[in-house]
Amino acid sequence: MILRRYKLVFFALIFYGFSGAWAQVSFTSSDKELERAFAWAKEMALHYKGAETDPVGPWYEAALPSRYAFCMRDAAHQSIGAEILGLSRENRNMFTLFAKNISAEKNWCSYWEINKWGKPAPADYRNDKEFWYNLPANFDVLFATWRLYQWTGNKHYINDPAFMRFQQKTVGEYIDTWVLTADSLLKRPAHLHTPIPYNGKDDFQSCRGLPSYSEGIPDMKTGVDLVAALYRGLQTYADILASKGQYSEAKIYAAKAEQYRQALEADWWNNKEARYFAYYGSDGKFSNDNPGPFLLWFDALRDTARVRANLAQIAATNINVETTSYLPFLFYNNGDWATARKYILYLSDPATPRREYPEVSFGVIEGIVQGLMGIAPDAQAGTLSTLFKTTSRGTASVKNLPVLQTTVNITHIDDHHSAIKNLGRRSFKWKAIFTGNYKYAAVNNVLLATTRETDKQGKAISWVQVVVKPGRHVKIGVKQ
Amino acid sequence: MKILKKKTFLTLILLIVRLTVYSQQTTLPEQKDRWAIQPDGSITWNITNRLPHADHIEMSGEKVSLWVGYRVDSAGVTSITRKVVFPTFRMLPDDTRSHIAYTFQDNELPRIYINNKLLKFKISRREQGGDLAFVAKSINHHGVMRIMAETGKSDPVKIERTLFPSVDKPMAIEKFVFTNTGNKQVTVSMEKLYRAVTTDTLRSKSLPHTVVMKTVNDGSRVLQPGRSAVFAVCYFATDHPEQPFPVDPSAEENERIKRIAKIQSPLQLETPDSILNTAFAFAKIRATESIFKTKRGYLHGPGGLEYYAAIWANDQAEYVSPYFAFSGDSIGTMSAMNCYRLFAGYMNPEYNPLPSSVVAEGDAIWKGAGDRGDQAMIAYGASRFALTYGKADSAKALWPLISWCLEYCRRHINEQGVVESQSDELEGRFPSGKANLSTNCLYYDALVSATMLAGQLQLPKKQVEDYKARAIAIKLNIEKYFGANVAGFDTYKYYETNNTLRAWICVPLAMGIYDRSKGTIAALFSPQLWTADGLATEAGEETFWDRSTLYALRGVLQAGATDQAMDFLHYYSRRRLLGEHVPYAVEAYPEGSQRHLSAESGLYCRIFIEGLFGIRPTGFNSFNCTPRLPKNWKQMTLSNIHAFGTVFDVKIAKVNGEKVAVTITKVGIAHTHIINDGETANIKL
Repeated sequence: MILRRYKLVFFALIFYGFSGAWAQVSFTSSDKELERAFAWAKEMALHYKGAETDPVGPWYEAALPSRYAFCMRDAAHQSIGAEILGLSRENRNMFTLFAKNISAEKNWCSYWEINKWGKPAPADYRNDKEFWYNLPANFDVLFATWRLYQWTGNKHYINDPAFMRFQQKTVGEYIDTWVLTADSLLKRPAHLHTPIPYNGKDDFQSCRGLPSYSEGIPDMKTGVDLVAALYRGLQTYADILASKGQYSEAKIYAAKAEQYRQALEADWWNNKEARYFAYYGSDGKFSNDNPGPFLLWFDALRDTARVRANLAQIAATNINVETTSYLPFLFYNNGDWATARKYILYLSDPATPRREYPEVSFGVIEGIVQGLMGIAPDAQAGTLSTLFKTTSRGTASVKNLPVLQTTVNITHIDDHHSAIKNLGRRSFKWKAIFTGNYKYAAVNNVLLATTRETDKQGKAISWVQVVVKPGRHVKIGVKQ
Repeated sequence: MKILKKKTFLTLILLIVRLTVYSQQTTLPEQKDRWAIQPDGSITWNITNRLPHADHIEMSGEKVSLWVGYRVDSAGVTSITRKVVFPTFRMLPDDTRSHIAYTFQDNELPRIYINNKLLKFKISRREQGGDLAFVAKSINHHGVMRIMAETGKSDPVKIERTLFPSVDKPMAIEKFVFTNTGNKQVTVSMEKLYRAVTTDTLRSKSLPHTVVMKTVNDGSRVLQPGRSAVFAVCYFATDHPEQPFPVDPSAEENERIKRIAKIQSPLQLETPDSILNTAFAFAKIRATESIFKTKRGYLHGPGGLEYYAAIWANDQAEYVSPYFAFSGDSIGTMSAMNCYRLFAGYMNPEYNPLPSSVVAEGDAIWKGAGDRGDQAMIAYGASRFALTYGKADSAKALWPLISWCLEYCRRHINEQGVVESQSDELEGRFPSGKANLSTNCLYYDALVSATMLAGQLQLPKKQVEDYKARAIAIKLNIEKYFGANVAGFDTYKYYETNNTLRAWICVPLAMGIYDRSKGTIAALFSPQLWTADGLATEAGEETFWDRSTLYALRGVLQAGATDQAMDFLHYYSRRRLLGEHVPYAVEAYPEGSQRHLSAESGLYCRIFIEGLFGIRPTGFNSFNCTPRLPKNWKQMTLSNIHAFGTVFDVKIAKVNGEKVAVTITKVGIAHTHIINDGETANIKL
């Protein structure tokens, strides 16, 4: 009897193992370069998955590999790539740890970097008064948890008490204690909450609360990326509140977010050089630096001319692989699909120095799935959008993609035909978007009228939305 | 001949380089005052524009310190954070920071209604809807923080909100006065609030401590036109919460105002510069209010939410106690004597160093940074205090400590003839080598004072001569060991291998060593060291500590560079009194975010007493006066000085353009000494 029970467990495990292997996401395309890039990135990214026995629990590397750790910025960036690759348990554990470790003793910071032993990484932390911390991190993580909710449909990311406390402290005490209200950004001291005695040469003291992801700029009051992070953080909190029906409170936070966005456009745009300043220093002056990805990453820009200028400046600048790894997604998302593809090929090229840095492979996965394939879930609406962002004719297909608590195969047959199969047990609405002006869409040969509009870059798009029930295969083609 | 030509050429080049370096002038930044001096000596910020603005201030009484952080955002919303420290209510184990302290935010205040509408502190005029916004119109400081406000609607009610510490109780008070300025009656009510927290018995020293936030005069009042009502919230500590703790907010405020007036009455500065006069008066408040009544008697404490019921060799023994000898404040002089007595308790026959700090009301010590030159600091401060205080019995009580400290220093003189110490008052934050300039200069001045003091105490002549000889020797060795050209300036290296300019190169000037005054003054006021906030601790660093700026301004005046010093003194005073962080000298930045540590205010006053008026005590009833009257001033007066065992005024006036008249008035009788500008008058009272 006992033997029979173990047999069952054994077969169950075998099945789980096989099904796990079977269920792994894959990408095929007529663009063989991209296909190779995906294959390399998938192998490389999964190589960074932690061991089941690691004390920290499920995790993946999101920091310098030698540290066996994950840091807030990298994890926030890698999170959707990880979700695509099936690293859901890892995401949930890692982000819960970030959320749980926010504390008053650390002036409402969390641990910047946690290692596989479940400790704050010694490379960045000595004690609660002496540690490295970039202030955009709380807002970046807050935004990541919202995107994880949107991707997975798992309300844990917005309703769990640890996450709710993290949200409230981040938009409240954290902003107050680090003097980050919208009207203080140019007046705040460059250094706050320094330990006593203070040693400016000790990074754990002078970099506890860096007002940017940029490092090594002395006497910076505020970095432009922090303004964008604040905007996105508060807007995210407003979105979370609205998703729970707390509309009046959501409105307050949306208004606060808007103050940062307005400050960004009013104070930080260098009209003379047609670019955003990088930081504001203790000397009361704005300064330029290499453009970073964060204005676009935090989706803080509305003016398409300024977006184009920002993209052009980024494209014209030599930047490190960490920063470049954001670019496939950002360039796809902002309409420059050809450059986005080039970045994918550059990042996956064996000749690219440091392509092994964890963010790179995750960035390539994200670039192909969210970028090229244009897959964008909306958990609240239960909608999955797709838009094939290709500049050449051809096909592309993602199989076994975990999203919205189901699994799907998505194929872009060409730029006006796409198909989807729901392999899981949960229905969703498929919003199939196509570039161009099409009157009709044939949904499994049934003609439907499309909705036609323009995207944020002003390109004409047409779309149709259908429910895809479990087990269903739906093919949509648009016609004039 | 060729060689000679070459040499001449090189010398010329070097001279030009040096002249170029010396001619680097610091352009002082343009100043835009936020605050304005009022006729009653207070300062006021009228909240009209330039928002947001945030600042913080500390105010202290014998049993409490109240730190108030205040901010008015761009929508006009005022927020206040109160941190209340109870220095004599302590936890275990004993250490520097074992006092209890609690923070209170606006959202913890009781609800206040005006004509049944809720007065809200966190909303702007535009957001008030059916409620009322608290709209601050001005903030005033003068030992009491006073916010004048009105409600955001047409209800004609004026609100005066004051925050201050009790003079003698472990209590801070926030008082609200509502005045009906209309012609109809107004009802004002405040909810009753009582909230208490008691510390853990096992961790509490003596007894568990209870901290209470409670309302006073809560309930409803109907105000007829023109009438006012007083409500208050008080924050106090008690070890007997079961016993009544009656509070009269208005009486407490009156006591506080009386204490401020008592501090202000003696030692009054009158110059043609109202900013300097007012900054001096404010500095007296902060220097003197931060004295706590502990079980060891009155102890001055630096404050800053960290340092209470504890004394340090630098803050108390070196900086502020010598000031108290001039201050005329009896509590101040008691605290100075207690400070030196406490240190004296740690003298030992083995000449092991005294602790750097005696903490927890005298129950524990701190010596974490080793010998910081503490003995030189104590000997310097105690000998100056003893001479100035002018009481032989007090001096006799202090002499063993002074002589012990001097002997300690003698035993730490190295082969090059300078005193070694492990660090300085910055405790290793910046390098100080094995022997530093500060320790040695303090030791030198202490020897000079000890020579005079030993004479006053009728000690054997041999002893007097010994101190004299040692003073001459250390002065020579300071020049040999520390004298150097640093960054093109003929000044001092701070320690043997130091090759960057340091703020503490000013110390020789403040101790009467003027051998390198020209190069040192040029270096101090060069762009390498002088920043918008005074002296950078080290050239090129963002860190500043006001103490070195305060010493430098005194030293430069003593050295005779009067007009140069006055430009920088006026700039510094205006920034601290009327700028963005007011109204006192601060400790440092980035460390501590410019806290109002109190001993720095004592140093500020000493710029005038010892720098501008050039008073150098020489005996129990005598001093040298080397006045530095700025060229565009006709006269300046320091009146009601309580020092040298008497009370007197010093008036400095120009005579016929060239000469200077030093008039000492004592009990209505004036004596005038006519001297050349820059000369010293030997005053015997």
